[in-house]
Amino acid sequence: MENYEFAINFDNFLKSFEYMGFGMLGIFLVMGILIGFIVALNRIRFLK
Amino acid sequence: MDALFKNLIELDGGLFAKQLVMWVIGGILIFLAIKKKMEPTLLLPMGFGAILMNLPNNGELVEMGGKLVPEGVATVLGTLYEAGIANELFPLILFIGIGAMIDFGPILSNPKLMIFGAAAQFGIFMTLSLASLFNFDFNQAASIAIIGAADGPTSIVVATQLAPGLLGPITVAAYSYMALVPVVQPPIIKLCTTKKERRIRMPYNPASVSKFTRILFPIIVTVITGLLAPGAVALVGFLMFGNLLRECGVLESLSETAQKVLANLVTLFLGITVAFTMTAEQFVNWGTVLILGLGLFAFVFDTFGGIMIAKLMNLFLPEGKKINPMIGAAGISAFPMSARIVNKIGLEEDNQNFLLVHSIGANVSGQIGSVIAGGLILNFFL
Repeated sequence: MENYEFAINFDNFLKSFEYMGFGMLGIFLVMGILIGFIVALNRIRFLK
Repeated sequence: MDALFKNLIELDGGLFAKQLVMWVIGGILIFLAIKKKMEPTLLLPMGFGAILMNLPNNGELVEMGGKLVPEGVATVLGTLYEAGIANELFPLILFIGIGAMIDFGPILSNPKLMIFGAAAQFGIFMTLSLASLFNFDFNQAASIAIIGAADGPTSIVVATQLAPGLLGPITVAAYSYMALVPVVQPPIIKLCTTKKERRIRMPYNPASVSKFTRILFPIIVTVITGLLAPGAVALVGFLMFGNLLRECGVLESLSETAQKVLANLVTLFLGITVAFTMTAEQFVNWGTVLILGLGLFAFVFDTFGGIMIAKLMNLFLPEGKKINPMIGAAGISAFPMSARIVNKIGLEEDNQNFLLVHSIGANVSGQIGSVIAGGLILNFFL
């Protein structure tokens, strides 16, 4: 905690929304692809 | 006589007061572990380690892990820290054990539950914003935000790489809030859902999952994550390796060892070694209080994110196929407490409303979601 000093930093706050957008997009993208793979695997009959 | 009390005579008053605070914190962690049975495997060693690390005048100061530590027991913990945490070895090995413990069957038979594992990571990014607003630099803010992953090893890996100075408070917050899920989540769930929504029943029609799918799943997850979020590859890789040991069907003894002996052994060292970062100088300050507050904020908004995505999905689903929005709250990675809480609230509202299978599915997908979130954060800030 040596480098920390409490203050309100709006610049970083606004920039953080960019990370939020890309972060949530990334998670949904990976999960979406995984869902697609699972659905496909579950539909392949000879695997059952 | 002087020699006998030398240690007490030479006390630095200001520092000793902070060390006393650390003894109290250590005592509280031990109390929570033993009396309240809150994550005892980690909180007890951490509590004892916090006391151990803050004994006054414990030998000459030597440099270790980028800071001055007393030569006594601290150097031994420092050696363990360098060998197992600074290089992320302990949390990653622990992930093999966790992977071997998890049955991904519920999400393989109902993959749409994985959406909740993604949505319930919302608190991580909300906390990143709030911590940035409070003037933490992005590396520190991201490390604090990952408390919302509700996943101890992921928090340790991310904090070690981005803000090692904050590892102590972040680990304490992560494990404490995971243990406090039964206290933290119910009020948020009740605040975000109506009684009618909490009573929505969800029929359970499990699709059969082939052994081939179970074996292929950990390999596919590792490859896809490695391609899209390379930062998560170590975390996901070790988690899925453990799961492959479980599902392959020919390595029962290795799977059992990973689940029990390996996980216990690493946990034993992990807890007490994390305490190496819990020195009074680093821990006793207002920043730590702020980190604990931000960690709680992350858990609250994880729960909120999961519930809201379920409500959003319900707008498009026909009557009879609607999702109980509480399932979304189980999308956090605190396994299996979160799933149990959702099931319990469901039964309180309607004693025939069994949600456990669905909530377990959301909960295990949260395990994957939290690791991916950790990897993406490392991708952004490393």
